[in-house]
Amino acid sequence: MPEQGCYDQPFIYVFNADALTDGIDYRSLSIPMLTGSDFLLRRVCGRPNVAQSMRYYGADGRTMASRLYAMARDQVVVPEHIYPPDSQILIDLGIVARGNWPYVAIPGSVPNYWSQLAFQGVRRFYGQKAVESTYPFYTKPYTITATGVMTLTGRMAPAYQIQTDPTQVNVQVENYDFELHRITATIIKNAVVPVEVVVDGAMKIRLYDAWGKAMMNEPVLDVFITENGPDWNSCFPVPTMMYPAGSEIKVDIQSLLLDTEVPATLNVEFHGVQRFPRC
Amino acid sequence: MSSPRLNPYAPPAYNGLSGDYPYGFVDVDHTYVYQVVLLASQMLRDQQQPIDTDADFVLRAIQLTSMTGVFAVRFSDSQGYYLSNGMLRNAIFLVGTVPVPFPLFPELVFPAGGRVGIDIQDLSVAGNTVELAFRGVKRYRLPAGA
Repeated sequence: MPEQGCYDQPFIYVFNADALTDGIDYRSLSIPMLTGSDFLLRRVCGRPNVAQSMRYYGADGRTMASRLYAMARDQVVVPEHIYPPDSQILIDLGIVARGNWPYVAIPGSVPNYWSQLAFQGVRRFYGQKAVESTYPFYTKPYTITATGVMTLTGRMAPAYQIQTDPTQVNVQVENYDFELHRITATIIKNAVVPVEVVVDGAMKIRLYDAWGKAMMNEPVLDVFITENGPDWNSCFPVPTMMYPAGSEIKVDIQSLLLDTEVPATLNVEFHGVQRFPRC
Repeated sequence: MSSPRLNPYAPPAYNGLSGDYPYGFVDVDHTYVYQVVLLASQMLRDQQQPIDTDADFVLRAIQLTSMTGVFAVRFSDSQGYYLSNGMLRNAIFLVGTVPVPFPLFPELVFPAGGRVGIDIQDLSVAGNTVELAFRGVKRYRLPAGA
């Protein structure tokens, strides 16, 4: 828990391997920390999407593993590791193999890459105080649902080489303050027999708090934050995030869909609690 | 600004574990990686994973990160204390087919410059490349007065 006189914002630093070359080793790839806060690292995930082996370094430049290895797809960091604002997360990768969805029938196209590492933790802001509900409350479970049609592919037609821009979606928080605990998502892709499935590399997501502050440095792969994604031990936001009544849950969605998969119907659920005024 | 609250759905580490180390020390997450190539049915005794000289290592879990066939293994600490009376099959490091950390309780402290002792045997009757990760923390001694 944060010390007195500071507050923690859930945050994920993303490393995109899109620009790397398959089959090559890389040393000292860098994710610079944002200014204004410490970053407390608590989870590292995504290695199988990016390379055969990896390791990363602490804030003082010391390696966190004795050599490159096939790091688990989801790994906790205990104790949490602090990166000051002027530091960086350095990464070594062994034999890069970027996960991707290829446009099979379109010569010259560039695949949609879902080759990402995610470093999850919190940004700790000192000298600032968390904003709370302005009324005494009790809580009840509540889920805010959002449904939309995704028409964009990961790259722009007809050549499918240039990445499409993210689409911003705003979900209204009505009636009472809402405390977000977890996110789930399903998708129905265009197909001969449409089937609803959990999202698994269908998009990248950037989530904002109620004051418009991003909780990721770049859009993060859906399964790294959705709780119902296969194979991952995802939960986001941690700690929970409060959205006051009348505010919006703002999300950027970067499609990773192929030409054969659009249009697709996306269902996202924001699970948490409503804060009811207590008499 | 938002409200920092524990998330009851998240694993404890995601909510932040600050470490529980003795006064005058600081713990830093660390993994020692042991890699070995075994010939068919080969048995290697008294192998070792050396511990760096800059800090003690507190071992909390063993993780099987990759293998190309079945094998058996036995571990010992720096004093030669064996952690089992016989060889352990690799399947104990799996839940189903998924490797998960094999926890050690209580944690084992290996002194700086020490070693994790390893006996390992191929059971696949073919060549076998095995990688094991020793998960824990490096326990650094803080300078006097720090």
